[in-house]
Amino acid sequence: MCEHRDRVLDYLYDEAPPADRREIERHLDGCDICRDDVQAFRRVRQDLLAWGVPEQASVWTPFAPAPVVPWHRQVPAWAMAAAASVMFVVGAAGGFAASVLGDNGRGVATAQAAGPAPAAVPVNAPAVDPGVVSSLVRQELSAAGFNALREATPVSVTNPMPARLDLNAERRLLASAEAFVGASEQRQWLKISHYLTVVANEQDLERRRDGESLTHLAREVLVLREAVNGLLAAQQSRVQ
Amino acid sequence: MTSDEELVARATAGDQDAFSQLVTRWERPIYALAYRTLGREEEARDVVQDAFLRAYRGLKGFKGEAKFSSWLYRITLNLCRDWMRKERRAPVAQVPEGTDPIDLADQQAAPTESVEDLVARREMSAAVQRAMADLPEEQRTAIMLKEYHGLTFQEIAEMLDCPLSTVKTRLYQGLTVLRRRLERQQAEAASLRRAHWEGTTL
Ligand SMILES: [Zn+2]
Repeated sequence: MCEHRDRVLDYLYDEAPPADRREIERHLDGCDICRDDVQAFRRVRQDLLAWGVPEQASVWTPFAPAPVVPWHRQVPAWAMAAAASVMFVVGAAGGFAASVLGDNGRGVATAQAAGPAPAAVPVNAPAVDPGVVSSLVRQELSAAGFNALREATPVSVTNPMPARLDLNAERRLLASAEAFVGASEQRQWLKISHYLTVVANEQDLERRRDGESLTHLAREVLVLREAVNGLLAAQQSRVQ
Repeated sequence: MTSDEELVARATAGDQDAFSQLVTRWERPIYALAYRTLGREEEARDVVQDAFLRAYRGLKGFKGEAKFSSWLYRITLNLCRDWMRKERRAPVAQVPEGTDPIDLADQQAAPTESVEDLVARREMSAAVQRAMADLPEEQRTAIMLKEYHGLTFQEIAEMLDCPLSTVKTRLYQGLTVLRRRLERQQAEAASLRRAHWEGTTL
C-alpha cells in the first residue's frame, strides 16, 4: 500500500480538484502500486454495474384510501352513507341523539332502539387512515348522504317521517351531524375505518357469495331507518 | 424542480402531497439500497415502506442538519441492519435463474445484445452479488453508497458518523477484496466454459 492511497481514491472517484489531479497523475506515472490499483479498481467499478435492481412498483400507498375505493365504487351512494351513518348512530348510542337534539328524550330513546354496536370489531387494527374515512364520510354526508338516506326511507302509516323537511331544519340537522363528526373521538374513527374495511372485504367475498353482503347492509339500513325516522320526527316537532 | 428542503418544509407543515413528491423522488434509490443490502425483494419492499413511514413520522424531528436523502439513507440502513440482526442473516446473493437460451431471449437488454453477452452479464451480476455478500458490512455499505448512489466521501462519513479517512480505508479494503474475488471468479468461469466446450467436442 502506498501512502498516497487516499488521494488516489479521490482521483478514481473524481473528487480531486484539477490541480490535485495533475499532481496525482504525475504520481501514478512513477508508482506501480497506485497505477495497478487504479486500473484494477476501474475494472471492478465496471463489473459492479452488472448488478441491477429489479423493476419495482411503488410501495408507498398510506395516503391513498385504497381499501375503501373499490367498495365505495361498487356500493350505491345511499348504502354507503347508510353504513357509515349507522356507525355513528349506533356507536354513540345515547350520546349522539343528545348532541343532535339537545335534551330531547325521544331522540335518546330512538338511538338506543337502533340496536347493538358492532362490539366485535377490534378498534386497535385500523386498515385505513381515519382521516381519510373522516373526510370521506363528511363528503358523502354533505353531498348525498342525508338526502339520499331520507329518500331511501319510505313513508308509511307507521312511519311518521314527512316526505320533505323544510330547508332550515335540514340544514340544522346536517350542521348538527357535522358538528358531531367533528367532535368525534379518534377511537370512534378507528372503529368506523375498521368497520368500513370489514364491509369492503365482505364486498369482495360477495362476488362469490352473491347478495349476502348487501342483505347484511340492507338489514343495517333498516335499523338505521328506524333511528333516523325517530330523529327526523323529533327534529320536525322541535322545528314546529 | 422543487428542492428537497422545500418539500420537507411543506410536508412538515402537513402537506401530504409534498411528502408524496419526496417519496416519488427517493423511492427507487431507497429500494435499490435496501435490495442490494438484503438481497431480497420482499424484505426490501418492507424496508422501503417502513423507512418512509418513519421519515414521515419523524419529519418534525428532522432538523435539516443533514440532507434529507442522507437522513433517509441512514434510516434505511438502520432498518436493514435491524432486519439482518433479527433474522441472524447475512445478505443473500440471489443465484441467477437457469441460463437456458430460450429463457434468456426475453431478457436481452438491447436487441443488439447477443445471448452470449447476456449470459456473461448475468454471470457477472451473480459474481458481484456473491462477492459483495461476503464483504464485511462496513466495507459493503461504503462501496454501495459510493458506487450505486454516488455519495461523496464527505457525505458517507457524515452519514456513518465516522472520519473521512475511515470511509476511504473501508472503500479501499472493500475494492481490494472485490478485485481479488472477481478476478478469481472470472478465471474459474472461463476455465469452466473451456472445460464445457472441450467436453462437448470430445
Ligand atoms: Zn503510490
